Amino acid sequence: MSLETLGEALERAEAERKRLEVHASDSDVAIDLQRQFTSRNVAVEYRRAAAFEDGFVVVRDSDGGFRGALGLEAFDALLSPSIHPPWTLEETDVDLRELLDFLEGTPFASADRRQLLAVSREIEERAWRVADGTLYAGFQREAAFADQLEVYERLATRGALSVTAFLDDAWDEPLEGPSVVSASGEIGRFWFVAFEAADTDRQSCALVAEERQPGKYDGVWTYDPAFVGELIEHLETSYEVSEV
Amino acid sequence: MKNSFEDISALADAVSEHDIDELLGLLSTRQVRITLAYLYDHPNATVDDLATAITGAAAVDDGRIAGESEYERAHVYLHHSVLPRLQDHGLIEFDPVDRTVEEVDVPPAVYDFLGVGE
Repeated sequence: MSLETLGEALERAEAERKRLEVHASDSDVAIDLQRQFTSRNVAVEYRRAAAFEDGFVVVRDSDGGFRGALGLEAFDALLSPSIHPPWTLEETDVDLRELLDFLEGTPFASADRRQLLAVSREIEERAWRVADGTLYAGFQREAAFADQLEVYERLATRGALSVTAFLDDAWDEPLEGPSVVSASGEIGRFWFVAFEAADTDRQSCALVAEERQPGKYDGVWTYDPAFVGELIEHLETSYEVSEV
Repeated sequence: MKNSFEDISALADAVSEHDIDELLGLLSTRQVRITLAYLYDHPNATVDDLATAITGAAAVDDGRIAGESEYERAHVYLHHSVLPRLQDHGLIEFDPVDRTVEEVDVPPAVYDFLGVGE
């Protein structure tokens, strides 16, 4: 089954309903998290845990199976992540990777740019580490790409990485390294970053998020290699991506 | 958790029907304390609920994500140690077939000793 649009990609990823269970002494935390994760595919449930000093969250899959638990304090790190360029991430004590693994495949709602930037960084960092494969990133505005230009130019020089930016704008400046595809329509509504590793499926990952309100994104990130493959294929068949 | 000498004396006085040494031995196990703390809020629980609470508390302590293998270990430990011991002391009813647990007779002094319910 191939993907026709980015919207379809997001819908399919969202279809796997997840449950986020919040164990805390009062329900305020759960209400806050509900705001963060409420989309029709994440059910946030509150469980009273008055006898526990510190609360925690549990992620369950659609059939209720236990996926993982994490203290609320550590979980907050995901909601206000630190952002670092991919080549410095490993030198910090931010364990964003573990947090992202924890929530992989869990649709989120109303994320802001800072949060999506943090997830994008993780994907770019993987691409940097693997140093071989295809990295595609969408930029809704020229200014957004201009901000990340240094990062993407540096990624394009790394090993055998093939880097393409999709831009909902014209781009005239000649670049060394990344290719630029100028397009319109869905590219302007979605924030996406996809990395398909050359040799191993295990490193492939993608973020797809739609700006449903100004500055607020609903989306999902996933390590499902089949999904990443279809996303890459959709971009290659719908847009003129130059072979590098 | 306080566990000062006065607390232990208070506990011993309040639960004279239990052997205090045995009771303290029981409460010295972290998973037992978490199980009782969970049952304080949810007197009728499942083994799954309790395994979730134990794994969640471990995640808080370690500041990291506790995954499925830790959850499975908590399950096994509940089944083979924590729940049979609590049942032997008459504090809970444990149905291993239905995998349900009911708090039947946890003395309030035990909850006080654990620092819950204040």
